Amino acid sequence: MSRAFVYGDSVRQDLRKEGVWSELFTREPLLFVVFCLIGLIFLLALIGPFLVTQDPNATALGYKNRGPSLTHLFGTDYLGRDLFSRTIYGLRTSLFIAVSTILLTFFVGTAVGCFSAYCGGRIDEVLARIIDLFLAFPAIILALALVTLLGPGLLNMILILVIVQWASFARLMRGQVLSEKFQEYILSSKAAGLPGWWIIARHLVPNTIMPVVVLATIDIGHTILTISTLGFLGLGIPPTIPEWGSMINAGLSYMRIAPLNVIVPGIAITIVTLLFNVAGEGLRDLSNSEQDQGMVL
Amino acid sequence: MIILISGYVLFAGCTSNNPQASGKEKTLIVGEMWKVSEINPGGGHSGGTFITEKAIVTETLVGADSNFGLVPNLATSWKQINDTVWEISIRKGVKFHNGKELTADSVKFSLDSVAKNSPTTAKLMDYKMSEVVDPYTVRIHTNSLNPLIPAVLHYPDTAIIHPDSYDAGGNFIKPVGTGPMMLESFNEQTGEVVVVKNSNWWGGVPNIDRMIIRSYENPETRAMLIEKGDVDFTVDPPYSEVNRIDALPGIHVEKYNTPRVYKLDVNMKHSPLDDKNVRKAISHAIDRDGIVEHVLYGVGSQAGGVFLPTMRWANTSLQPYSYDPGLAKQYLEKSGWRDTDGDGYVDKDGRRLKLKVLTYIERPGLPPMLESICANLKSIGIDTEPVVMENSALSPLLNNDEWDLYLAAYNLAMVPDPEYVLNSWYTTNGPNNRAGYSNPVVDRMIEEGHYINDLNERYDHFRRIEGIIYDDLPTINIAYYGVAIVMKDNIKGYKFDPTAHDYRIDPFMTIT
Repeated sequence: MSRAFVYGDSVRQDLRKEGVWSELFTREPLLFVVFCLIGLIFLLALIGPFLVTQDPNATALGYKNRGPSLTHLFGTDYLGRDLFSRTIYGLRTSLFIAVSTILLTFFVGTAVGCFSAYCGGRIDEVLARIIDLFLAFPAIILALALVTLLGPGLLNMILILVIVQWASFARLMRGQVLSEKFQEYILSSKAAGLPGWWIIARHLVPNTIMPVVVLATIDIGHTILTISTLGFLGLGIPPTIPEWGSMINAGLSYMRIAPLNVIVPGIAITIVTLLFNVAGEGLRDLSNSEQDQGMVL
Repeated sequence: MIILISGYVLFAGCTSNNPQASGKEKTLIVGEMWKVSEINPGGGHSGGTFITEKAIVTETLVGADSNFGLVPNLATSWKQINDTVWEISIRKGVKFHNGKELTADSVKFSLDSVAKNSPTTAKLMDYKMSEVVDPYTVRIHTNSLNPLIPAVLHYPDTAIIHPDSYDAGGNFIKPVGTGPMMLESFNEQTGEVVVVKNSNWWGGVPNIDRMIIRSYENPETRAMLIEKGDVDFTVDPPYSEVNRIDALPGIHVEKYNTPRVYKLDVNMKHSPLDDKNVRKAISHAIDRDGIVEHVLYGVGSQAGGVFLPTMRWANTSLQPYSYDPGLAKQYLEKSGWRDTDGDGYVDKDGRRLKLKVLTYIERPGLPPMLESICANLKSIGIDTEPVVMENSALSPLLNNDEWDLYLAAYNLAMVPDPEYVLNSWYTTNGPNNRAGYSNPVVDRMIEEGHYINDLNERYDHFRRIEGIIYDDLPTINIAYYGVAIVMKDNIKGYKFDPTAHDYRIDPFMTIT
């Protein structure tokens, strides 16, 4: 009991600790920079509309496929639209979908995984098989099928991605809870007559959530990539909403006369995905070392 | 054993290299744009276009000149005997690829089989039966009066093939036609078709000895192949690359109009699209000139009336609607659509004017054209919800009436006559009247036109109908479809057939 409480509280206290950022900076300067950059990206997405001077959908056919200039930092696309504002709006699209998806997935996955593992028995058996079923399906094929079924659109896109991804969160959470639920402190909580929801919310979730948080961070990168893939395949987001994948898809025909159509959104996808992946990996290493310390304690 | 094998390889190498070594055989490698899956013109799966126009293995009874006027081909003349009977005289001395002569019997056989296999063709012809009068005369009986018969006989699916094309069990083997090239092989897996010269062709001696047709559905692939020299002749590279490719040494691009129109179907069942002012506003908001120049890169031209101006029956007085956002806004205001809340979009009775605009991805000009049109509409305050998907994925939306505007490229000369398109698109019960357009005057005039046999009078009559429809705007015509033909510079004298569906191979072009 004491070990788990110490570990759980230490993590929470660590996160709340005022000096967490300075500690991160001294221990993992690279990770610190990555987090700063991610913060910058979110800031960019938030203040994007005030930053760009041009309507991302306003065409100027006579100015198509131009190179970078002062008025068009990244040049113009095949319909004369400003690539800089389209990239910024594309960032908003990607981040909005990815973050909403991850929040929903996180909630659904954690809830299902936790419930399943805590209940055990028949319920766990059935839920675990459902999770397996979703995991057995290749994600992109399932997504393609769902897009065809539900049709394109922002909200549909989020729904589709949640359906595709919740199972991996649920499995991870279920595994975590399974390994934790027979710990003494849980058993004694049960013996003390505490209600199930209290045990889950107060003891199980805080002590098992960290790996899922890591997964969520890494998955933001994956989700952005999946959105772009679907956009590239011409599915998902309607064409008037700037989105990087569909920008690349539409730009392909112009690649050899105006490569910026493809290069700009391509680099954007690479940078953002890379940042989230590095952040996720870093967070995992960090939580592993925290856990090790917890073990030692 | 090894000696045997190496000897065989050596021998095989010799035989295949021989014709090239002698420098005599002129082979043309064609990069086709669609997957080739059907080579039976009358099989009911639109195999006619490929085998008649691109492989030039089969021929139709009736031909067409560059203004879509009907001219003799395998038939030398045709006349209407009475309301339901047409008499066709067949060209003498035409030999099929199996050496047998073209007679009324084989014409009857071909027409019977296409009518049986292809409901579309049977319906177009209103086909009842064919009757052999003598070896060179056949009579076509229709169920009711059908002035379209000669025009339908230009439709590639009605191309004439010999009964030997089928085996005893009635299974199709290969097309035995009368055309300038003979089928040598068709690989069903790869879709590769090889045809060789028919030296006994009635029309002359073709200049191409051998033609290999391979399909590459991706425009970028076709562009790269002709650049690398892997194909000699292909069509429709990405439009944006037409100028770049044309400037390359050793290849050149020729641009033509084809009988196809980019048009917006307007869902007149949906308010406020039933309001002519709103339709006029949309039409005046579209920058057709910009679209042709910057989206289609000059492959195509602005559209006024529905028919290409080069078509004999076209109403050439119909000019493209002017690009005039100011006028467009006036039309919207006339119907009470104003931006009252200052959000940049017009509204009326608290409702914003928002339209769901659909198009498909298969034709490369459509998606960017749709984006351009949506931007045009936004500039006059109309909000849009664009949907761009594969053609097949659009059908549920179209069938369930979940659309307002539908951007598509439609063929105008399945049969070279104005009645077919006008009847099918614009009569109240027309099979392709997607707009839900219903104008009693147009219905009556098209019905009347059906009974006019004199061509000049007939065309004049249909010109008037085209004018009414132009003003009513159930479809908003954007541009006439263009095709860019890319060929090596050593191919000379290519003559384009403007009536062809995409392009027609010219057997008389020379390869130097």
